[in-house]
Amino acid sequence: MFYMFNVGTQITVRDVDSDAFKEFKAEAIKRGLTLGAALTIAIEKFNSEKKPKLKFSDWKATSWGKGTEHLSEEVDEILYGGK
Amino acid sequence: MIFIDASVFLAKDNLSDVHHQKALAILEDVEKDKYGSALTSDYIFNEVVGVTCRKKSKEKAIELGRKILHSTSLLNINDHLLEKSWNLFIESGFNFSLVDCTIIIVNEILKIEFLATFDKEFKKIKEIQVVD
Repeated sequence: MFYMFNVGTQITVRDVDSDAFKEFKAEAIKRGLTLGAALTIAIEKFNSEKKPKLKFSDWKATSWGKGTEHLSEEVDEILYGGK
Repeated sequence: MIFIDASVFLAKDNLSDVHHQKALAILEDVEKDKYGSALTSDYIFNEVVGVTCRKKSKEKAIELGRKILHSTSLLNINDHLLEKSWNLFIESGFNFSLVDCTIIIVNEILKIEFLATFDKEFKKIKEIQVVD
């Protein structure tokens, strides 16, 4: 009788932010997971994220009227009282 | 990769905005993959909805919010990103809001080359290539 085991894939990853990885590793340990298991969960979550469907070119723009001409420059001023 | 700031979404949706044509051109290039994949964050989403609500209407804010949710990947600012952004906000000599600091940190950590924004303040950050 033959058994087949999914032994997983070994990977080496470059350019991972060290602080983010430290936090990830600590969280995996806290949850009792191996790094591989935690990473698989993270990858599955990433893969399951819905890809955007609406194209920017399909946006229908409208005129917001007088007094809104500079809103794109005034975000911080409107929300936080200016820079 | 390119990060899209609130200013670009607002200009894109509003025909009256002084930067409307530029926003159209930027997002047309984004659609053609000129900058690689595009994303924004939940903090930016909140800014767009907040400004639209305050200056136009809640109905318009919902409409624009839905467009963003259906067209752009949204990154959640987690504890780690917030802590780094908060430290930058405290230490930065520039006049950035906390949300601006989250943009700088996200671009640094995810190694995002481009930032689509009409906020000139970001041109002071030499590591960020502003697309405007």
